[in-house]
Amino acid sequence: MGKADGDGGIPNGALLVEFAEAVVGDDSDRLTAAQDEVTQALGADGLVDACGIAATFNAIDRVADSIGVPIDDVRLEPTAEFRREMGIDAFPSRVES
Amino acid sequence: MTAVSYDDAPVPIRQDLLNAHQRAWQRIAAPGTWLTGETRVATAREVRNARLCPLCAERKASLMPYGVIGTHDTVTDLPEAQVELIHRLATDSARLKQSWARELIEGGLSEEEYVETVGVACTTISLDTFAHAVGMAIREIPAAMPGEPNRIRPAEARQGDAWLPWIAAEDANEADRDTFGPGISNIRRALSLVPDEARGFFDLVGNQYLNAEQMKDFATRFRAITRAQIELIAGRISAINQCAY
Repeated sequence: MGKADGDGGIPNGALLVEFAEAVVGDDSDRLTAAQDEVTQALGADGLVDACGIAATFNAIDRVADSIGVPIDDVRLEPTAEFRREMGIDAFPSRVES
Repeated sequence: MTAVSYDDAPVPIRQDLLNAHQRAWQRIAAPGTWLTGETRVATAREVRNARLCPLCAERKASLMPYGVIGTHDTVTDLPEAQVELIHRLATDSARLKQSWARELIEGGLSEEEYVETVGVACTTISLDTFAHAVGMAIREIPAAMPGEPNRIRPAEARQGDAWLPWIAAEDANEADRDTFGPGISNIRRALSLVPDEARGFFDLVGNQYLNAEQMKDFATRFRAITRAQIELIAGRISAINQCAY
């Protein structure tokens, strides 16, 4: 996926996107900088919670992919256009699920 | 077993999160439903080793990963199919295929062992990602605890819309209605062929992210960051992982 820019209307959004990218990246200096910035902006508790969310989704994505979990029926229609526009339907895991 | 400590964390870790991580490590070390404690600990070790595996690196760089044939670098004596499952889900999960999963099962890995291995591997990935994200060393994997798996397959599990059998909403028994019943998302029933593994994994999820009830409550703030901030991080991680779910 491409680089995400801007806050997206969410306070400190760009900062949190940068943090998320740094967590799953392999640049330790980038991660250290992002940790410092999140702590300054959202406090130590905010950093811990951001870490918990990143840790959850870096794992739960793999549960979904390895079990071939289909999108819930209730979410299929409301997200159809979004998934098509974002190219999500072309993800290999979507094609096979 | 010595409980995991976060005394060296650069920031204070809330107690409920520490408790959940201690439970998660204990589950990894203990006998599961189908895997012994030794196999579960070996699974955690193999997750960490996958990052260093030359075959995994070559496949990750390839446009046709299933065309790259070779042998994984291993640090355990786990069966080949189990190593393949662990390494691929750890290093290239977006390109897993149903046909690949069926081949592993037809090759001797039982459906139940597959699901439990996924649970243990993903628990390890989550715990390690947290340590990395917060800026501390990954924790030492605990020693395996003795004992035998109970090998009980839930009678209500059957093949549904996922690649592996699960407990469908309409099949959940009374005791499991809040866990796998109607209104529960597919991701929460993903590991339900091994119900204890599903419950354990989502115990961790509930403390790191939100539990099932909290997820439905958009009016209450449960964390130091807002719900919008939570979902932004979640969405970005899933986009990078190319997870369609």
